[in-house]
Amino acid sequence: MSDISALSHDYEATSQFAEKVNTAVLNLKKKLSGLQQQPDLETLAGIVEAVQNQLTDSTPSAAVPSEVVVRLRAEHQRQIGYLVDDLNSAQEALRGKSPVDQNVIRILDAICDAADASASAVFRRLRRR
Amino acid sequence: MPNLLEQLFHDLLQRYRFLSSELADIPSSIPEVVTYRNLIKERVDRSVSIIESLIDDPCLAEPSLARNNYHAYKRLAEYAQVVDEGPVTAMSRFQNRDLFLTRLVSAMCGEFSFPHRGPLCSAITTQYYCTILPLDLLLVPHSDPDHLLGLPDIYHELAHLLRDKAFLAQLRTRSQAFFDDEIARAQRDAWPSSSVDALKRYRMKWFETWLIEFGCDLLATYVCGPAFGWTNTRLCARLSSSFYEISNTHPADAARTIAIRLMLQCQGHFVPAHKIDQQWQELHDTAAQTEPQEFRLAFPVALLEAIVAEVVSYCQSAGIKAYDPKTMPIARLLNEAWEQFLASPASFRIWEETRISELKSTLLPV
Repeated sequence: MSDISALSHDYEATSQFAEKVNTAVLNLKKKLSGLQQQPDLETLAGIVEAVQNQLTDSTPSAAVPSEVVVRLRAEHQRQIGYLVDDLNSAQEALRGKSPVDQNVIRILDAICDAADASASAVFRRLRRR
Repeated sequence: MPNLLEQLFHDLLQRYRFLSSELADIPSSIPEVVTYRNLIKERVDRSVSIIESLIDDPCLAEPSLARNNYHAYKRLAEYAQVVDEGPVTAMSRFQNRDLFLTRLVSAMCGEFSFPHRGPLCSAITTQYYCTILPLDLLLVPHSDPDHLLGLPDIYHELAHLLRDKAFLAQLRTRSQAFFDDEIARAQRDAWPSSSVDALKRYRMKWFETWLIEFGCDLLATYVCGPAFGWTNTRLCARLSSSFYEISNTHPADAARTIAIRLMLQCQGHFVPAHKIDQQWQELHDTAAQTEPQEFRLAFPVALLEAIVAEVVSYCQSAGIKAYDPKTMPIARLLNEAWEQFLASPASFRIWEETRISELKSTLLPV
């Protein structure tokens, strides 16, 4: 009955997503900087694809926490079409169809930021601050 | 001067090392606490290693990675806080009433074949019954281990611990298909766009949070029987601001009550289901509440019935046992407690104290 158990579910899902995408992006950046890392590009491409799907379709999905999608939508409200295009390009680059450049990193950083902000927000809600 | 991230990680490392030493200092005389303590300490020590390797990583100060390292820091800092506020606080103040509760819950879990590790329990919360999910910690208010009428809510909290993704996906598929059909029908019949939008909102709320709460209520009713229905009505009487209020985290209390009744009926508890319903009606009339128009749109009975069927099917496939007074002495006691209370509320406490005392002598032998 308490909100804590329900919010605990939310926090678990959101923080796990944030950690997963952040670790994958960190490894990719290290690889691009010439450091020894084996980035999981397929995982990243899957995340980008899921974000893109949830932005373009109002049907709920568990792949990306909805708060992350809401944040991305709010931050890009006037350029949502460009965001979807960028997500599509990033996805193709991560699947080897074009080079992974700074534009791809920029879009991945935007997902990381939204995921981090969402996890922090749910965590604060758990503490009613 | 070390850069900001280095400072933050050193500070966090010291916090984790402190938590690890606090955990190591927890007395090891109670087997349940030792098992749980070791589990949490292992996770804390793993975090210590992660932070040490991050501090040693020459890339920590690299500007292009700073934001990602900062995000990693935040998740680790949150985890330290959860461990500090939850397990470390609970274990360092662990009393006999917590041990009684932990053993009682463990016995409950055994009765219905709970398919997950039994949690550590502590009577130390200001937030009613709650579960700290990643840490398998169940908290109840201080007085509750000495009272029987609220304990059925433990079954609801245990259900939160299950987190069976396949089962949740099954429930979500069911509710989504239902609302997809409703939305298509509404569009076909040229409903006002505000009503179609409302259906889309409800579809999302069911998907995100309501299904979890309904699932936990229904599993609790399945394994605990009518006692969970009585406890639900009492809880609504105590805490509900409005029986029809739609919140982000919980479905309306009135909808939960309908779902519980449907499960009781599905399990053959027709007489108690009817009595609980009568009491609910009395509460409803006493509180002078009116059902809003959109209530049935948000909580269609047909969907509630479908979810009841899904929960029963899941329990059967997972080996979770339905309430049976012959083989479940604790669940039976909670049901008897409600029968006793309803028959004689004024003298109930004397009966209850005797039962609690018997339970304690069984679960906490001297």
